[in-house]
Amino acid sequence: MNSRGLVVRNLTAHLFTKRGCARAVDGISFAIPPRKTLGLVGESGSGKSMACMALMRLLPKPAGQIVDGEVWLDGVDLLKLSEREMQEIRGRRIAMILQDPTSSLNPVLKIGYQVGEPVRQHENVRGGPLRTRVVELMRQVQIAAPEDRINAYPHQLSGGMRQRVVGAAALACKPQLLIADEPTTSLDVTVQMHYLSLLQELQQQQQFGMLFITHDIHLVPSICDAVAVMYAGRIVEQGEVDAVFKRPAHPYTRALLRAAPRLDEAMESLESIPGELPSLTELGPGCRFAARCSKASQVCSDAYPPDTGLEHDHRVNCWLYGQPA
Amino acid sequence: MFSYVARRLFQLCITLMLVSIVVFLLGRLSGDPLSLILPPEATEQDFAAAREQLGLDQPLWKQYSIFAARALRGDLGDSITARRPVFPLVMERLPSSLALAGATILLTLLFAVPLGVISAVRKGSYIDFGARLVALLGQSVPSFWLGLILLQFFAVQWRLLPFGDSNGIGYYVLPSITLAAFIAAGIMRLVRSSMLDAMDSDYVKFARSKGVPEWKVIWLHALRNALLPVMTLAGLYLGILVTGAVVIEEVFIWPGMGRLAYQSVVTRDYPVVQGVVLVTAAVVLAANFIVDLLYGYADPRIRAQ
Amino acid sequence: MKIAIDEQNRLVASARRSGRLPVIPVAILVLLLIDVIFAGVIAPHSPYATDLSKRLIPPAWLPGGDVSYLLGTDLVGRDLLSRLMTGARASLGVALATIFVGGTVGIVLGMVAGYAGGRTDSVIMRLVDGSLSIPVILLALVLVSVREPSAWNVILVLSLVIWARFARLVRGEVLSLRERAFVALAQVAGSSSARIIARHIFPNILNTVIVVGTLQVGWVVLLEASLSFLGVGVPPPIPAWGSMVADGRAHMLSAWWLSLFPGIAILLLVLSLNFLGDWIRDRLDPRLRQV
Repeated sequence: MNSRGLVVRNLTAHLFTKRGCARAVDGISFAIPPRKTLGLVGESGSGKSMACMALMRLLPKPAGQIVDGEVWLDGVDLLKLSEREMQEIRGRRIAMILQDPTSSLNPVLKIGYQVGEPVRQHENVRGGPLRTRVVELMRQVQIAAPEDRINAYPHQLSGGMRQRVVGAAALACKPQLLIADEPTTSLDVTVQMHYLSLLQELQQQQQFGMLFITHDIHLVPSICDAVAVMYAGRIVEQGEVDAVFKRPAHPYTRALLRAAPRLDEAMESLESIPGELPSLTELGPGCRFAARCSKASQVCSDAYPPDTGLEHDHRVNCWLYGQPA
Repeated sequence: MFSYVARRLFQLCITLMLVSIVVFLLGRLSGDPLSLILPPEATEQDFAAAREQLGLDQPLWKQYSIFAARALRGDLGDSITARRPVFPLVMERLPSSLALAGATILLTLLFAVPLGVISAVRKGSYIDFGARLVALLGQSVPSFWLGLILLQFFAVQWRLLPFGDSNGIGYYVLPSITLAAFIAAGIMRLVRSSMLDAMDSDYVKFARSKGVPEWKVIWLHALRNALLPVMTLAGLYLGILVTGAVVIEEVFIWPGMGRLAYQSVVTRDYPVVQGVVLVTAAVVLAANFIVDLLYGYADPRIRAQ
Repeated sequence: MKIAIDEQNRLVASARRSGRLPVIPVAILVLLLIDVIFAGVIAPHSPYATDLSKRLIPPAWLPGGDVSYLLGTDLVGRDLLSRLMTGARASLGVALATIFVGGTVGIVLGMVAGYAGGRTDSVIMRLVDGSLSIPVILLALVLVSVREPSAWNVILVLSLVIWARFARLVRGEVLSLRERAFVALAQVAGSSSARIIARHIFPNILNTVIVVGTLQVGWVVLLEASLSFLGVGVPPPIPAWGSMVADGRAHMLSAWWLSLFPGIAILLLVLSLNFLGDWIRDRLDPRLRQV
């Protein structure tokens, strides 16, 4: 596996709970070439966030465990690294932005400390130089008067500013891959757009690849190069943005695209598609969308559809395209 | 910040006043104080004279205001059995009670906090299981009985440790362990549960995603937050500490205020009991006040208000 | 990277193990409750009958022991087991009554403080501060020594200790409930305060109350034992575990069973209560871990 960028193969992560084993991430594969952005789309509970945590090897222990798969970053399988080696990767080569900036900043530590933490950790910079660096990082994310703000605490900033601080901390060591897990969901609509354009601007400057996770498929075309649609722990369709948006193949993708974009509030469940996500602890052998799919036939619930290539890299898992065995 | 301190100080004074009213009323409830002060052969006239002299013929609220005004000047009346002023009598015992309380708190922090943290971090492990079992035992064992058992084995049978009315670190070991058992158990459980919450939080995930090593995530990011709920309950635990001390001082013949109060109850020396209750309440409230200020310092969200 | 299937099964099994009803503690509590009700019938001997010819018989398994006096006898020849069985009444009975009395007062005052706010709230909260800061056990000593010692006095005194804890928690809950829509709706609809508290607020704090209640029983049992250890609990000759420990205190070397067994009884009771309390809390309201 010598290709550059991120290559994920058959990543499988389960949650072992009282109610049984939840197959939250069930054999997903995708690739993000350097400097490219992949949009990972799905309803809440589809396993998107679990997938990111699995990539970072930060699943909640002891319930969450990576069961199978490979995660290659520039030819190194991250899942084979020791915990200590993995810690060197986090924040330096892969960084992450979580959904809610209010809860992702530590309420009792100063902003400046939290932004500079990766630099302090990975580059062993302290004191004055670290301070200069932190001020520079905060200026980069367009925080006014950064010299004063480094001594502020998170609760003293607005929501949008907090998320920019989170961005500054994540990008502090110029990582080559940024995982952005619904970075704008908890922000006001006006602030959302501003934040997204800031993110794109920074990507232009720093040339990082990005895994952009969202439940809102309409955000994808303006930000991403490719898209992967996730449903109940599996990726059901993926490909270049153009291909998927012009010729969506999977009924679920089509339903997502048909649903009107909702700007008013963060609606995470799809009311336009009747039914709900299946329980991840009681999955049958068939397609997981079958129960909600208008085009479902007997084979859909009997066996999982094969991975079918349509054109270029546009792939879909649906019996409408593959032949029953 | 200043108004916060001022408000807390004001509340402290109100609470202390309420305590003094309760203490005063209980004293009146305990029967005619004169029957204890005057000799049994005293006549009706003696009683009337004494009553007037002590202001007992005045209405209750007036008696209280006299009592309160004197108390503010450090005059808490005279002990009936010792025939000396109560205030110095109580204050003599204060250092040794404070020392025992200090040793107990030290012991608690030394064991309960690290154990709670480790137990949370290693949730589900044998260490966690063991620590939780010990904590449950600590919260369930009657302290006087634990004290007697420890005393019997370590002081009487094996003669490893001294006990009683003397100085030296050795004397602190058994009483402070006994007293700490219940409190440390509670604090440990508290630290564990709030650590579990903290370790599950987004800021911990984010810190890890920045490459912060796990020890720093635990002892800096998570613990700083996990200690906040512990601090809010510190007042409650100080109250428990004082209550426990009365019993433990009696078991270990410790020369503190608790034992003084207990002996005074036995001899019906109410002014002394009154003095102990007031002084203890003042000390506990002052300690609470300090904890409050520390809390304001530890939580920037409070500090700002 | 692959985790084997049986390892996966082990992980699920270990997740399932937590959260089961604590069977042994519940069994102990049920036995004790039966004992509280039927102690008079099932105790092998009278807990009061003295017999100096049978004084200080050691437990049955020791040399000189007597099978009909399983745990031995005390200084005046009373059967220790029978006294322990009867003593459960003082411990558990007083504790339950205290939780009921103190709990009721605390809940009512806590709801009033939280709902009314303002000056009422301040006064009640200062009372709470006060009763949490004074060594209530001293006041208890005074009160009990002033009045004739009786079980009711002990209950009264312990209620004075316990009410503040209920009031504090209930007030906090009510404060957050007051802001919720259904309370505002009831206010707009013109319901009286008393009615809103009874119909809308109380049902919502019931879980908290149950959790606090069960978690406090153990602490009350310990307090009751401390009081009777200090000689101001349920008056003699009624047996109470705390006073039994105190009675044996001077004979720790020669007749260790006198103090040992009552202590173990208290330990077992409180331990069982705490196990059960933890379980109920995890079930009803895991948020309340810090009670």
